[in-house]
Amino acid sequence: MLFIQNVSIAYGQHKVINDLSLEFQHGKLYGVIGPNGAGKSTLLNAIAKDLHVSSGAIFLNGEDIKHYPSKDYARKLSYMRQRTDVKFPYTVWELVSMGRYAYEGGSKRDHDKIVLEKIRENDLEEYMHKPVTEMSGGEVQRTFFAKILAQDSHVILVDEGLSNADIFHKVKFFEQLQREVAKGKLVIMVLHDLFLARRFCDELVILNKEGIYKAGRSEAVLNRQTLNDVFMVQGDFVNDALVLE
Amino acid sequence: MKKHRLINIGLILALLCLSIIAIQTGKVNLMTLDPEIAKTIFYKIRLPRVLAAVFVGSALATSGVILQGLLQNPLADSYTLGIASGGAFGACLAIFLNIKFALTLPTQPFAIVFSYLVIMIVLGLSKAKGDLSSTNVIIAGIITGSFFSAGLSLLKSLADEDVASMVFWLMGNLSSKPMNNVIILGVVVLVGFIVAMRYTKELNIITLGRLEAQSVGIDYDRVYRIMMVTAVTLTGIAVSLCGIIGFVGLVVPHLCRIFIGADNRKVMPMSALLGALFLLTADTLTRTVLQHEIPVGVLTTMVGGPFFIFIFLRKTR
Repeated sequence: MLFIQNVSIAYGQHKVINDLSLEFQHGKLYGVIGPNGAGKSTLLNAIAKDLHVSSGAIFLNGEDIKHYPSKDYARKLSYMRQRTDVKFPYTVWELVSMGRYAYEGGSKRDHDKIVLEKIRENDLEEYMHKPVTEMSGGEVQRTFFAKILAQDSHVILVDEGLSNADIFHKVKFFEQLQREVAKGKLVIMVLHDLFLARRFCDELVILNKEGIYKAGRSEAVLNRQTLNDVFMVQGDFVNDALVLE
Repeated sequence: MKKHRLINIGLILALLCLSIIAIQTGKVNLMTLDPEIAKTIFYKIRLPRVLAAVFVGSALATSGVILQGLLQNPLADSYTLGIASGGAFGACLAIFLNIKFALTLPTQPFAIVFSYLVIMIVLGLSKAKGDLSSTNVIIAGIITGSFFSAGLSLLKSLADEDVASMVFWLMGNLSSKPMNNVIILGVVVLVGFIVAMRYTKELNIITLGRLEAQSVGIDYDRVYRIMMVTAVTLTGIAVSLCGIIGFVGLVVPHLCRIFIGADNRKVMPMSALLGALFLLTADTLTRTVLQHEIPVGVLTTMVGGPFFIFIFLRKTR
């Protein structure tokens, strides 16, 4: 269980998150949605320990995340960032292998088996020895996702995910996440596509500038009213698809 | 056999052959000379010079690999962070004080101390700004480097007609190095290389940035500091003994990557070998083929540049 307790985060004077409390359960796929600047990515960054909270605390399995040593935390939690620049020509294999760093000292056979499995799972086998620097944006994102899966953590944070991938891989991506969730993992994802959010996430946390607007089961909280209040558009959902008026 | 192993074996063989050739060639032929004199020339002149070329070449290339990784920038080297400028300033400060006050300060410790001083300032500034991310470190490095470059120019202008000894030192050369110093250099380079090899896996991940490295469980600040100190030690000791020898640290790792990809576990040893081979070749050429010996630092840059462009255009990876 991941518990966020009265967390505030500020960049200098500017408070992005103010006294926010939330609880995330294992075995669920959470979506965090909201307009630009609502603090969605900031929330993930704080959970990932990319930045410090100004006040309050975050607990994973009852333990303040500050107290986890870095390798332990890497085995507990992985984070797929919006974008990571690859400046050197690492191959898909090399990059996915990096996800296994926290398990170093284990057998090479296990390592190779898991890396290959995650590469196959993301349809990257034919590019396995190709430098990532020569691949398309969508393929690079899939490589990073394979790396996150190779990290095999209980909690997976995703910021935007496969935003550059084709629709086939986008749908597949959510199915993969759902499979991880079925294994008892916790996935928290920031996303902008409201259709995908409503269709695939078990629960949604809807943030606006004031904090949490609503949180709960996807169909229950993302509706006509929310569209109007939070996203300032007139419309409704028909079979999860967003129809604007 | 794996490609990089084959290349490494080829490089080792080439290095051995070239070393033997380099020891044999020179203004006099050791075989036909009086054995006693030949022995002196061998131990006092030829051998130290060949070894110095090998060690300095390795040191510069290895530190290039480390710095490019740490700074997440394939175009970084010891100049980017002002380490070489700091070392050069230290050495020239010693030369300057010696001339002006008739002292006999040794240039080498001055160069090393100032290299460390630079990196302490750079890391201190970055930490003060927030964290050891590559942007902070590069900005701090460029500022500190410029400062010491300006200091170097100041020393040159103050030295007046005595500027020649500084300029000669700055151009970089491998001649007449005492055997003792060369042995110390060799030991430091070996230790530095071993430390660097120990952290190549971490270095690979660090090229993705601080946050990404921390996310997979790397103790970023610790690894960063260890690797930075290693790179500075390697550069500092090489610069202190032989002056500024450009291009090796920049080009050699790049060439290796073109052939075997980005994995530093492969790039590091190959760069050390190729750096040694490159500098030994350059130095042997400067003292044999050319009528008038030119500083090897000039040759490495003049030959290295076009050669690099040639490879760069031919092979894309």
